[in-house]
Amino acid sequence: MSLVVAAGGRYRDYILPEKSIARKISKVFKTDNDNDLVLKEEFDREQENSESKNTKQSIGVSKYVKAKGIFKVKRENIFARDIMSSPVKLIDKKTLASEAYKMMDKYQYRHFPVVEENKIIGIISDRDLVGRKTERDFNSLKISSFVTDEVIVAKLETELKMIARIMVYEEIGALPIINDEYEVVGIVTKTDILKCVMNNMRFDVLV
Amino acid sequence: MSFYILIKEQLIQYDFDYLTDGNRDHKWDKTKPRSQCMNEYLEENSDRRSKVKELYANQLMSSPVYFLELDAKLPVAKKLMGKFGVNHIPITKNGEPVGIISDRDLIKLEKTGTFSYLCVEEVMSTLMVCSSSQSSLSEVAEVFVKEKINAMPIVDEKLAIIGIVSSRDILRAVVEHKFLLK
Repeated sequence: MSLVVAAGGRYRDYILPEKSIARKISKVFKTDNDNDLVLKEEFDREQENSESKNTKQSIGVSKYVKAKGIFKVKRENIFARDIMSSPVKLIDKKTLASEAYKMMDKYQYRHFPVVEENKIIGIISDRDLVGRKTERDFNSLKISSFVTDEVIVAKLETELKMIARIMVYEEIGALPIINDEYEVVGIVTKTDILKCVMNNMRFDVLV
Repeated sequence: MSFYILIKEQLIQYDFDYLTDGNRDHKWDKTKPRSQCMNEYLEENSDRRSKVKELYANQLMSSPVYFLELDAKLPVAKKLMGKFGVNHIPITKNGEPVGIISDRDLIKLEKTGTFSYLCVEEVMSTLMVCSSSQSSLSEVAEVFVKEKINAMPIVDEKLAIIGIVSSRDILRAVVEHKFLLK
């Protein structure tokens, strides 16, 4: 597994819960209008039929490939290193919270990884700061009192699908990307994935 | 494919320049007879034997939509968001949409003393981008990125809201479906 959780400077593997759970959650929000329900059932049925057809086809294709070796299906995987935005703006552990808030205004970013001697210890988002901005001692507080301890971090070789699945399941908006020496080299946010969808993919579905 | 913008409490059709420019619809070039386009398209993708179908907004949108009236208080909106797990709520006046309120608008005011007195009307953004249910998801994604928004209500032919597509729905599409590179 190429995913890592950092908590207080230590790393451990992150295991995503089963696919079936994530699917169940996604079904909850997708109930349609009463009028559309019938249509949706038909759509589901069509999909089931087509899936069964598709498997038959693929068996046939694989036999054909073995026989002739001509038939090629292009399918490239997209990895984190292709879509991440880098270099990232990093925030040191000792900076003041008000400075971080100014940086968010200046660069129009919402997430900054927090580092201590080039190693990631947390992440800070604008939601953490904006809510507590009206507190009296906001200007004197350091960033370390706002930071969420546990971060989920992906490696350069993580697939796009995996990142999207984690974002949906954990309800987060950004994943920092680290290299083999555990240094932060980039970040993948929701907008990066949207840009990837917009530029590289036709939203075509195999039926 | 058509997008709408809410101006002065009225939905007006609006075509974004970046969607109409360029060769977005290279598949169905209208200057050529349709049969010819289809042949070209099939030649391009001759190595792919299966049928190709595009994903539209109405297949991915989350519905039913939860609305609030103009005079609802902010704690009510917060409770609604927490209960149904949504971050954006359209605001209606006599059944017609007049604005949208998001999660971030509430977080700013949450710790202040006026939170429980303010109405939704004073916080909501009156500018809203909507889309018809026939726009494809790559177009929706482009509008999200260029306009810096996170959610977009979907309207039917009578301009009534029937669903919402958020950026998380597009992530879900990336997870659940197979995609082909251009």
